[in-house]
Amino acid sequence: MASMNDVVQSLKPAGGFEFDLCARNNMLKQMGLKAPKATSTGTTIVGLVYKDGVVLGADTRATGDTTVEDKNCEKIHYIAPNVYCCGAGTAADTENTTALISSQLELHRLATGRHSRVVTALTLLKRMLFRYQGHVSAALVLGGVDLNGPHLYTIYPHGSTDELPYVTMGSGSLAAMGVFEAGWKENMSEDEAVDLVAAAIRAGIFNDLGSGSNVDVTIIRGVDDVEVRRGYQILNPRPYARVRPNDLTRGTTTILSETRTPIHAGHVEYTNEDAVDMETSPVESGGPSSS
Amino acid sequence: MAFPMQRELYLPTVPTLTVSSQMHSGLSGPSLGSHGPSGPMAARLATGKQAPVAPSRFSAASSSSAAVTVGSGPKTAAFSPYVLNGGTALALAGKDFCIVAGDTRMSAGYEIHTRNKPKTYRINDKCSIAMAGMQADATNLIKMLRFRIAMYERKMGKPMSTQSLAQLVSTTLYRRRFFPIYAFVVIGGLDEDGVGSVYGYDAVGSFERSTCCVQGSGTSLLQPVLDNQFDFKNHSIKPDELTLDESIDLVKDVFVSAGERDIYTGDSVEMHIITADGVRVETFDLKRD
Amino acid sequence: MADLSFLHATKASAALPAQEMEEASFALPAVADPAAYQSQLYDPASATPLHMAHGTTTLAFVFKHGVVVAVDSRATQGQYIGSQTVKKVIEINPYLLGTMAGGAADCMFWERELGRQCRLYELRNKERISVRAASKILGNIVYNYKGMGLSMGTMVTGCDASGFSLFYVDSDGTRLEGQRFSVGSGSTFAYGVLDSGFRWDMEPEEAYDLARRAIYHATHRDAYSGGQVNLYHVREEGWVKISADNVFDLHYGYAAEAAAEADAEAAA
Repeated sequence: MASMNDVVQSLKPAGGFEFDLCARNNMLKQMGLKAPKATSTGTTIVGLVYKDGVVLGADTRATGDTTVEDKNCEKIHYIAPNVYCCGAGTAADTENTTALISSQLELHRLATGRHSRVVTALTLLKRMLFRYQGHVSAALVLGGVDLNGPHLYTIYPHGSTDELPYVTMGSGSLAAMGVFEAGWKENMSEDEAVDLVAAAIRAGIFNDLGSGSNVDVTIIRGVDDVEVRRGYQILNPRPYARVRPNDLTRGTTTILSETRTPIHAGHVEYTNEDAVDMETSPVESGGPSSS
Repeated sequence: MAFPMQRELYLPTVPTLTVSSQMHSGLSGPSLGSHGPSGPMAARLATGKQAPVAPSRFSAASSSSAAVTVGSGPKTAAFSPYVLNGGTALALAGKDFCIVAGDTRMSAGYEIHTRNKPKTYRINDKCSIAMAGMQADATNLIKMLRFRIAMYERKMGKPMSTQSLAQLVSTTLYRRRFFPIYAFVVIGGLDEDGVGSVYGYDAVGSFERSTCCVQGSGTSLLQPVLDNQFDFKNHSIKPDELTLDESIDLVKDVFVSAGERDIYTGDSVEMHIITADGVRVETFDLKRD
Repeated sequence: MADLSFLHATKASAALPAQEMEEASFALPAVADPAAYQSQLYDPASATPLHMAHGTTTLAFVFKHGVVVAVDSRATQGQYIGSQTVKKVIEINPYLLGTMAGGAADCMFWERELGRQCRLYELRNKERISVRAASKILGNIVYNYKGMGLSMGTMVTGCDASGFSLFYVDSDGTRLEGQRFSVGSGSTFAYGVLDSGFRWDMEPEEAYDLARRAIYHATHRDAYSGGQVNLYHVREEGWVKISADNVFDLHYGYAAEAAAEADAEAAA
């Protein structure tokens, strides 16, 4: 017979994702259960290589179905001191994937004593996403500058990648790419690059319903030479507020009953004799003790 | 007097349109479009009273051999005549006024088709209609209603009252009970005593008079707010009824709020303000993102 | 003579828009099997799901002093409460009442049509229609549409030459005469209260209280019922609306009553 200890051991989390409930969930789905919808970042994200580095841009809207869940979320994630990554797709997947790879790179830097290369981040990300066959729904724009110069990549949820001088991702990618195709030049100055990135993001914000609110921009020139411009353009302030908000008179909400619990100042002695000690170690046999 | 028998009266008519794989020009009807790889892509619905019923690829429960075959099993493409164009419409009724308003964004999926398609339609000096849902069905419904209102007014020699219009809209919607009009209607106007009145509908014509009603994608955001701030529902102490100016202020505020959180509500709002003096139209801007 | 030609179902034709608007028949979707198509329309998984107003508790019973009809007033569309103020008792004419359960539009439209039919009957026959006949008209109408997706569970009640009667008619084609019915998602709760408290020779006030409590208890346990309890009494001289009470007020009213009873018991 399995001891309580075995049970406790079996409940301890192992590394990686847990797939135990997939079969059950599939069955529930077939029976008509609607799975809760994850927050997705409908999103416009872009990246552009200019003369001295890389500029990344993103909108700041997060949606759950057709509702805006976050009006000012951050979609440009830190990977390393010289590498940043924009995420589109399921918010939880993009955030956790980039955070995971970020910490792996940190350990790698500590172990090797060298700065991270962008291609290392790329390889780690694409390996992970390929392993999960697209179930980790992260579409990424990865940019950075290392000893080989500036690099800009896109990574698709199934693990395929591209390296290009200007890229867009997310539901607003077509709108943004239109701007890039019209305005991109080789060897742009930083100001030109930032302007074009902001214009591309604005195209997503105003033409794609999945994208909205503000423009975030991050400029990567080299290791520790990064400018994170959060809220680079605030484009959509609330246009109107009620002139005469209705002040509620006291008593508008019916009070059904009232209980007052005095808060004692100073030391309070516990006198409850029935109190049971909190269980802090696994019990060998039987249930928790009771008195 | 020859009065028709019950069966004659109530038997639903045989469908006039059957699906044919032949080309047929000059007829409106849903195109097969990209529903399946086989057959002429531009095949249209062809008329024919007793035409041999060609196997339908629209049918929900089709087991016909002509169904589009992909791989081993037969695959049926569903007939989907509807598209949701989003947006919010509402109406508020006061003691001697009524406000009918709707945003002007028309979209599908993540795309904005236009930023300037009002959802409000003026019917006469006393009444306006607003509709959310599918724009094509809404346009067609308004066309049918205008026709029927004109017929009524010619027959009766007087303008149609808001109450009569309310019943007319219901029967017009119910006529399509088995192929519903995908439009969510709200009517606002003044009744025969000059009091503000609002009627809200479901897609097949169930309706009810109320004092405030929201339809469309912002319904679940706005209706509870208006219940509380306009009707003062669940207030133990009820404040004074809102004046016209206060109501306009509230309408602006709730539309702006819906624009903050509902991706389908935005761009601008067209508002019909109905008083004894007639209908005044006002617009104001919302966010465009 | 009045032109009644509009009553005839129009023969199908490739109509001009204007003619189409004047047709007195129902438009059907251009599919091979319009009936089967119905189930697809209301599928909540579809991208453009249609929600009809639904959900209800209604009840009616015959007793010594007539018929009592009580209903809730909530309409739900999926998970959303569409209205808390629906009139689910449909006043067909001063002697006939119908109730609404299932599709609100279906009940509203066909019971309105029933009212028209009953009026025509009166004009033609110079006497009021019996409840039996009226309910049969409704039953026959909906039976003609069997399988087309109508959704109605209705009670037709009233007073005629044979006394008080009560019929249950639904969209499957069922038509039953009975002394006591409850229809809708909250009906089991209402039956529980109704059956345990029913007596033939109740006074009207007792009957009202029983009906009100039955609906209140159904609204308490059934999420799809709520709003207010609308109560009607059918008497020999026609129906009378007795009351409309918010279930919120009833809840605290009953709670206060129970507390007072408990106090009285404790004192005794």
